[in-house]
Formats: sequence, C-alpha cells, structure tokens
Amino acid sequence: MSVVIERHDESAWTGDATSRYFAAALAFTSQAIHLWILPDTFVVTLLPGLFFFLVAIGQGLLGVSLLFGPGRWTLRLGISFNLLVVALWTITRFVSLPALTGSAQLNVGMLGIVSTVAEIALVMSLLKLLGSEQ
Amino acid sequence: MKFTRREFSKLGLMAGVGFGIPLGTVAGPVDRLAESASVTSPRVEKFEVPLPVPPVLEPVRTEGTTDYYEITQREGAVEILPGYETTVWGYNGIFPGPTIETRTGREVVIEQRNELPVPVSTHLHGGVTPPESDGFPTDLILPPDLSMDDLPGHVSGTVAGISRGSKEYRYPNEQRAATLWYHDHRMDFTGPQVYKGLAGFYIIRDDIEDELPLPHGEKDVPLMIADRIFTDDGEMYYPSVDPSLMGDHGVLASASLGVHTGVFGDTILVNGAPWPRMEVSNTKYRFRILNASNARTYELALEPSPSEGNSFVQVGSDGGLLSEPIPHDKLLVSPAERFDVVVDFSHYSVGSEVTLVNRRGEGRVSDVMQFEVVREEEERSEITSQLAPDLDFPSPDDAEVTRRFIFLAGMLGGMSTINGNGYDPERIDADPRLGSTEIWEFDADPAHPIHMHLVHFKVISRDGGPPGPYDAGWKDTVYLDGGNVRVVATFTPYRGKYVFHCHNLEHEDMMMMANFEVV
Ligand SMILES: [Cu+2]
Repeated sequence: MSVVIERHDESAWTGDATSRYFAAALAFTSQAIHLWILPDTFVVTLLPGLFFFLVAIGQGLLGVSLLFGPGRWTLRLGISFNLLVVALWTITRFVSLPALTGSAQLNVGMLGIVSTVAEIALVMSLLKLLGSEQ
Repeated sequence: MKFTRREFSKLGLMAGVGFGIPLGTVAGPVDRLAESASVTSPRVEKFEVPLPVPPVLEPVRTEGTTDYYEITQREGAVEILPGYETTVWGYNGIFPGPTIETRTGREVVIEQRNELPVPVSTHLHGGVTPPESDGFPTDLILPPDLSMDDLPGHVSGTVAGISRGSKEYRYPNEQRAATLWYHDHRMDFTGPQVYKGLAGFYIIRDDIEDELPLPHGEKDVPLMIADRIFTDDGEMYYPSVDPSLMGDHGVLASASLGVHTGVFGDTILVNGAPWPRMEVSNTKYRFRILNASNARTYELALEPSPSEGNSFVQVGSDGGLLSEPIPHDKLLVSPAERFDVVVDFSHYSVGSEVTLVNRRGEGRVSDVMQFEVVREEEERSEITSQLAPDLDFPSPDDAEVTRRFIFLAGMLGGMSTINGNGYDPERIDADPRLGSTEIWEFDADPAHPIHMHLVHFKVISRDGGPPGPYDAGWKDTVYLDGGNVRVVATFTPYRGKYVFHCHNLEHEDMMMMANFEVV
C-alpha cells in the first residue's frame, strides 16, 4: 500500500510549474554540456569519461522528473547529486590529480563555468521547490 | 499494473532523455575503443624470414677526427610481413635506420633532414652529448614547408631553438665503447614516431674492446627487438588520438586498460623482421640486444637451454663493457635497455634449433626469434674473466644531494607523472652542479623503465637491498617493476638542460618526463 500512497503524494503535488520548468532547463543545460565534452574525453581518459556519462544520465532523469512534478526524495537526490558534481569540479580545479583526470593543468574553462553555474542555480531551485512543498 | 497516460510519457521521456541520448553519445567512442583493441596483425609463419642486419652508414666526408654523415628522415615502403607493403617513417626511409659505427674520440656530425609531414627531434640514447645536440623534446626540426602556426599546442623551453628542414647534431663520442641507439624524441609524439620506425643503432668501439678476443665481425650482431601491430593491409597500427600526429597527443584509453599500460604489439620484430631466423655455426656469438619496444618488457631465455653452462654471458650493459662477465639464464630487458651478451652455440649439436623466447609473453609474443646451428666451425673467440679494466663508479659517499622522484602511471588513460607533475619543458626539476655527484632515488608504480640523458649511473640499491641481477655496469636506463632503486651519478661534462623520463613511450608522451639542468 505504501507504493500507492507515495504515488498519490507525487501526483498530488504540483508545485509552481514555472519554477519546475526552470529547474528542468538547468538540469538539461548541465546534461547537454556533459554530453558535448563526453566523446573526446571518453576515448582518452575513461574515468572522467564515465563520470560525464553518469552525470548526463543523472541530469536527464532529474530534468524529466522535474517536468512531471518530482517527489521529495527526487528533489533531495537531485540536490545531493548536483552538489557532488559541483564539488568534484571545484576540487579538480584546485588539486591536480593527473593520474585520474588525465590533466595536470587546472584549467577553468568556459563550459565548466557555465555548467557549474547551472548546477548551483539548479541546487537553489530544488531547495526552493523542496521548501514550497512542505 | 496500470499506467496513466502521463506516467507513460514520463517513463518514455526518462528512457529517451535519461538513458537514450547519453548512450547514443557514448556509443561512438566505445566503438572506437573496442575497434582499436581488436586490431590483430595478419598471421605470419614464425622463424621463416632471415634476420636482417641494418646497413652501416658511410660518412659523406671525413676531416681530421670528424666524420660527417647525412640522414634523411622520410617515408619508405618496406616489406616487413611477407607479401605486405608497410609504410615506415625511417632514417633514410628504412627501419631500423642505418647503423652508425664510430670510435671513442672520433667526432660524429650528422645532418638530419626532415622530409616527414611532422616535426622531429633526434636523440642519441646513451650519448654524452652537449645540450644543443641532445634532441631536447621541443628542439624541433620542422618539415621545410611547415609553419609554426600549424603545430599543435605551443612550443616552449627549447635549448637550441627550432630548426627548419634540417639540423646538424654533433656527437663528441668522448665516452667508452658501447651500444647506443638514436631515435625520435619529439615532445608528446615520441611513441607514435618511434613506432613508425624512427630508431637505429649507434655503436661506439674502442681499443680496450678491440683487444679482447670477443666474437667480432659477422659474429657481433645487433638485435633490435620491437613489437608492433599491423592492420589487414599490412600497415602499422598505433592507437593515436589524432593519427595525423598534428593535433591532440596521446593514445586511446584502450591502451590504458589493465596494469601494464602502453602500446603492445602482437608481432615481434627483430631488426625489423617478424620472428626471424638466423643461421649460426657452433661457436660463440655476441649479440647487442636492444629493446626498442614502446612499452613491452621481455624476459628472454633460450629454448632448449644449452647442454652446459648458462644461456647468456653478459659482457656489456647500456654504458659499455662490464669489468667481468656475468652468466644469466634469462634476461629481463625493459624498453631502451641494452644487454650485450655472448651465446655459445657449441653447447648445441649441429642441426639444433634454438629459440629465443620471451617468458613474459603469452601466445604469439612468447617467441622472439630462432637460431639454427647449421655448421661446425673452429672457435676463435673467448670470454676472458676480465673484460674492461675495473669500472670507476662514483661513490655514494661523495654525493652532495639525494633527490627522490616518484613515477606514477595514469589510470585508465589518466596522465603519467613524476612527483605529481606532468612534463613542462620550461620547469627545472633538479639542478645538479657541474661535476657533482648525486644520489637519485626512483620510486615506481607500477612499472617504469627510467632513463636519464647525459649521464650514466650506477645502481646502488634496489628495494633497500643490493642491486638486482640486471643492474650491473654503467646504466642509462633502469627498470623498476614497482618498488624503488637508488642510483649514483656524476653530472658531467656539460652544463645545460636535459630530460629524464620513463621510457615506456606512451607514459613519456602522457607527460612522464622532467628536466634537470646542470649548473
Ligand atoms: Cu612509465
């Protein structure tokens, strides 16, 4: 029965559609950037390549569920996931981990900045949605 | 279970956007990696092709004690696999390149012309060479019609600057008789350029060696062992990220799976021939073994082993003759190392086939070449108990400085580093004083053949204990299969900037290199 209740929870909750669509757009932006850099990275360094692949999947799933009105746990998961992505990007700009990342240079590139700004905005939007839900 | 229309669209979108698009994007790269990992060479019968010996180059002129040579680096079409034509990038268009033979104290001047489509830099491995002629990785020789703007990245830190079309290298050869080799050293692209064929022997002889009754003439044979992969049409296959070698450097991540990373071939070439065979008499032969492979380390042995005595008697190392011969039943030879050994075929009966095997290899790469004892002959050579006069190694007690360098390989295509740094042609990582003695400690994870330019060193300890069985004599390349070694060297006779690096060429190109400047 708990499944039904949870489903009831999700569909009953509508939230502010504009905020949800905005958050979804941010998730898709981050997804698109990770997809863009995925092929060139993947053929050379598998670890970052796999990471970008997982980020693209995560942001895609989050974006779609935002379009449909996500439940509380989806929002929480989305927040943690994006915080992790932002944290990893930031750490690898300050700490050189060439054996893992394939780069000894700590490049702060345009795509990285846009993606990180989108992810931070996404975290804030998700927090707002989570707040308005309660 | 019943789905609403809304749930149905949600699931559809999740599958499409969440999984479909990322999977579609990654499919191409995955294909490229899988394809690269699945290239297999056309099958060749082993021990059919006779062992070639690279031709010895004649100087174009001689003035006093200086011999002048000219070499053109160009494309050539050669038959490596029987029935196939292979394009090589060779010194004078051949692979291995022509052998330079000279004597201690005779200066060699080589004009290297570049007619290849890419920049090159030529290094004499084991040479005690002034910095301008050492082939610093960014001291490029550009093809005549290539502009600096066509080069990937930016070129910095040069020692002697950039040349166009050709460059003159001067080798004083004020050093002991030894087996050296020359090869390409272009920054970021050494791996593919050596692989395509830019490697040759350079042999220095001297009076001390001449006076020894070691096998000589036809019985003094250089063996350049190198593994390669060929595509179906007989061309060499190297998994470059950008096969033009004019864009991004590095290899596909498929070369970085597993513990031993780098480019490994499935066909073993000796002097450019696949698993060759050599006819010998039942006498002693001297083999100057060079591992010119990009990444493969060999454990060489003879099968069957001789009826008595050891398979190999080592008479020399990277830096020339040992003071006393060392018997071995196997030889561990990592990339760029040289082992000068005598094999005595009198311990085999005429008609025997003796295979030089690689105990570290599985399948096709477990064989290297074969000797066939075809005739009896009178023995004229001998291995004396004293070879060179006692070697004058620097004493660790005289060391002014101890430096430590940690060689860490990249994971799954990550960058390989020394002390956490990728190569920067401008950064100086050590500054030994001219004439000073230093101890350098190398740590390796997992396995790295470590090479120092300019100097020869003595291994003083391995993993805290005494040096290993393959550490004897003067060395310029030392193999670490994990663990650490300490070496002692005296930094002489030139001031200037030189590199030291891992000689796994894929590691080197993936930044496992550093500079020292003798000040
Ligand atoms: Cu290495």
